[in-house]
Amino acid sequence: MPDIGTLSYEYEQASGLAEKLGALINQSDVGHVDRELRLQVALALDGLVSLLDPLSEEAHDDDLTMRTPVGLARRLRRKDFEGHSYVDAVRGLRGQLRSARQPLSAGDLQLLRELRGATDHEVAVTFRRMVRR
Amino acid sequence: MHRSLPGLAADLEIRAETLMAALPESVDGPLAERMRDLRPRVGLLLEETRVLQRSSLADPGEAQSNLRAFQMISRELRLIEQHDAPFVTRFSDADRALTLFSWAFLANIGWPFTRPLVATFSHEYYWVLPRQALIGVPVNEDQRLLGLVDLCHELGHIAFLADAAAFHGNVLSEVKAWAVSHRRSRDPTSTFDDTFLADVVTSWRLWLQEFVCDAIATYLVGPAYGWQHLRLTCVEGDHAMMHQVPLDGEEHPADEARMRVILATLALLNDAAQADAIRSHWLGLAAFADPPEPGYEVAYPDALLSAVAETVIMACEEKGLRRYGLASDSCDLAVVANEAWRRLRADPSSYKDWERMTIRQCLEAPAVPATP
Repeated sequence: MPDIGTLSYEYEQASGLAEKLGALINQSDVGHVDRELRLQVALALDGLVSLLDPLSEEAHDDDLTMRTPVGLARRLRRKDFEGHSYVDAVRGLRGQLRSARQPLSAGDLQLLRELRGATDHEVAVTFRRMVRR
Repeated sequence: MHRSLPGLAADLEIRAETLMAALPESVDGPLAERMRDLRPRVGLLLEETRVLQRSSLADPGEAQSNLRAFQMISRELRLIEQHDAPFVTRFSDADRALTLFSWAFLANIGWPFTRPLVATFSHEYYWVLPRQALIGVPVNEDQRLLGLVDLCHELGHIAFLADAAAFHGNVLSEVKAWAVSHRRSRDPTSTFDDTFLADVVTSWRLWLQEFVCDAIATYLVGPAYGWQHLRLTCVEGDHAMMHQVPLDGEEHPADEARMRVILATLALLNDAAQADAIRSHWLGLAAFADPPEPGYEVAYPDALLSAVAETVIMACEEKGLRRYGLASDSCDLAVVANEAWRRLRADPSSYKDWERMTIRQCLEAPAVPATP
């Protein structure tokens, strides 16, 4: 029996991440990305990296990991991005977002859109389990 | 898609209007505290629906963002239709009694978080929507005592949402450190490869909240929660699966591991005798279970389960929550539930009459302070 309490937590984390990714993509589309938003998404990607590569020696913040939708990490771990492992691609994007001087490249935006799509998928899957359809 | 959106948005507006019409203009009693803002929330969704209808729905270039906006509103409406609205439209005397009984308990324990409404129309056993602070329990739970401690597990989800960092502490880091050390020291021929270990760490991220809620419930009501976990594992045959390692996205860890968290919490609260008694009964049940799945000991080491118990006890104390052993009110859930289990075990034949009497005494007119 699914646990609604835990699922609603997962749903909130996934919805929040989808919202942030969407806002960043929208800002990129109009040519101005807010520094604070870049950093917020970079932090969210820290959490995602911790679940994509959970055995790495890299130190991770437990709170960020707890805010990362588990289903999203499970799905992305099986994928690659332009010939690279997904975790390496996400690490690269995280570095770009942290660097205020670096504009986001077409590849960065493509990865952001993929992440947004996968996160939307996770929102839908989690919601569906939560309301028992 | 852009051709479908105008019709879908019109349908959404009708849904929101219908929902609004079904909600009473005002609510009183315990409903007032949690549901005062329900009509404004639906009104806001109705307004967002109308804004969506006024936007460029027919523009193919805007179809994806319009669809997302539509879905966001629709999901919020679904949650209200499915959970909040029935609390308002079907709240019964039994629901009121159970809610007030819970609030009396929350006042006793110094609960610093939102007080939930409790309703007895669940068809999914006990559940909670933490953000909305709504708890559903099965029918007739207001007339029984043994299962009521499961309310405390659901309260745990509300506490976790309010301050997750306090309740999960550094346990995930400990899980990761455990997996990394296991990888270093494992036999080269071990079947528990990196993929397995990575799945274990990822699953702990999901299981942790359940373990935390079990430890919170044990802190609040003590051995009664352990006995109830045993009862729950028995009643529908779940005992057969108590040694599972569900690495496929299942939120619930193995029942046996959950029991070890409960027993570790009891032991840390200096109730080793009760922990031993529960363990003894549990081992009797475990004899009828399927054997542990491969990797069971790797997935649920004692050290990590104890770390959960330690972290949660510390967080509960920091929050000023009262531990079960300090309860004194004769109608306090911790007192009532532990007495229920003591009597049921000592003399099953006289339990029914005692339970009925206690329900009449404690659930019919609980004393509840007006403010949280």
